Amino acid sequence: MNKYMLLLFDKEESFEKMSPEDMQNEIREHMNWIEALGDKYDSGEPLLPEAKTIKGKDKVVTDGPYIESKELLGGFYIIKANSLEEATELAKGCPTLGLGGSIEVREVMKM
Amino acid sequence: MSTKLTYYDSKNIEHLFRQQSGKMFSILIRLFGFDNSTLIEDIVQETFLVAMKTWSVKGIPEQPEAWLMQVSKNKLINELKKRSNRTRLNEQFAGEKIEEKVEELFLDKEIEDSQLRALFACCNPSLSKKEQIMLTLKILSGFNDTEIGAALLTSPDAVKKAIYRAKKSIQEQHIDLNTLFIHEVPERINTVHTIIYLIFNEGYKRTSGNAVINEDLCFEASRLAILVAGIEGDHQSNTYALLALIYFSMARFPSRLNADGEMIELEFQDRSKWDMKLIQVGSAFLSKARNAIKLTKYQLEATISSIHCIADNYEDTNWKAIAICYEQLLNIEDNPIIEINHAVALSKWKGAKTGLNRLDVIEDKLTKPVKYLFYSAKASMLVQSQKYELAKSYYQIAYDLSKHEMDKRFISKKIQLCDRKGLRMN
Repeated sequence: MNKYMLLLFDKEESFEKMSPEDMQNEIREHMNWIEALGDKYDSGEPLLPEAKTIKGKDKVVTDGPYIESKELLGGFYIIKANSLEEATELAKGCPTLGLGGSIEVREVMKM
Repeated sequence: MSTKLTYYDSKNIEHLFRQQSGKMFSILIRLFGFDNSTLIEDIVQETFLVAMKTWSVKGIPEQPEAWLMQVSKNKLINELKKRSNRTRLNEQFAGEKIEEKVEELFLDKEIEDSQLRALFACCNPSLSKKEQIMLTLKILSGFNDTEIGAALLTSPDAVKKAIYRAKKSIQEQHIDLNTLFIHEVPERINTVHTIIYLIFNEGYKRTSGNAVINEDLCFEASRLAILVAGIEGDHQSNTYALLALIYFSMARFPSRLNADGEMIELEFQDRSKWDMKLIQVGSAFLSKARNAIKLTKYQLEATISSIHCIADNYEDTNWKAIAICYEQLLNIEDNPIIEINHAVALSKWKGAKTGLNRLDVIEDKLTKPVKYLFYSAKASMLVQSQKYELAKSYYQIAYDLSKHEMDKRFISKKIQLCDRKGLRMN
């Protein structure tokens, strides 16, 4: 099986309207999804919104992601699947999508 | 901070975020007063956002409550380090050693105290009952405008405006949570009881709307009542009575609606679905309520509820005791629904004739909104007397007078029942 990285792009503005209860439900949905993935779940990390971008030989540093975007990379999961298609199907179950976010699915290169 | 994965027991932290939200809001209002809502809301919201993002991926930490409190405490201290926020603090906290004071505020005892202070401030007499309820749900229970709107059947926008007005009114009174409370207990505790009672009733009596929200309201009411029960004094037995009432009602929650979400009358509820554990807790609260100096509304209502809870079936209920409780309730509160319930209890205790006579006595006093209840009570007593034709006519009047779809469906089932029983008679 191959490893796939699911890059989670959050639609930040959808968080503003969430109540504490909504957020707790969101956690539950993620857990249910991870539980359903079983052995196919590998790992994941959440990312803080604060960021620096460094560019080019001159190492120009700017605050925030380089590209102005309403969607912010909020974290990633690594899952196992046999193909990009299967990984994409599995990623469709991720609750992040329910909040208007998007997911980029990338295969991890093998050595 | 432990990050041990516990994917499987998310059930036992149900409503944790709501509770923690209430705690954080209370602490922060105590620090900053009602004037800094945006700052306060940001700290609370950001705390939950961090939790949502990390727990979603990493699982629930071993001590979720402590985890959340630690994050909000850190955020708060960071905010305080920005000089501009210090000047916005309530006087007691404006000096040096602010971090020590913050640590103190996050002790369990102080958290409880802050919540009580905030609750008493929300029940400010200058606000309408509705504003008091909204503010309580917002600050103590972590409901957002949409959830409050769903709970009270009004638009989120209307909620937002009402809460804005309410906060402004409290701000104008320059209420400091640190001086308020202890000395105000005797006069304001009644309002606090009423607000908890109303929040509970919103959830319990309502059969339309969002079923989840309705149950949450009941849960919140019980949580607030337990909080208030910690305050010692003469009113304490009354708080226990309110708690007993809430628990007895919650025990019957699972049997109150059928699969279609329609209300099932007590008579036809499946008593095996009643939660015996909640009934036991309710009984314990009721016995603690017994040393009251005088009987109160909550004591009588809780007693009525307990009598229903311990009866094996509807017919074998101690109707005599219930009728007496209703009679005493009428001495406290002039309420047409209690009048009708009293008549129903009389009809069960002494027979349909007594009940019908009682209904005749109160008929003129009743206003239109409760007329349909009156006519269905009358019809049920006529069913009891096997006068099905006449009963059907009264049910039909009740049907025409009722406003809610649920009530109409309920009454039309009664009409069908009259038809069937009438046929069997002939």
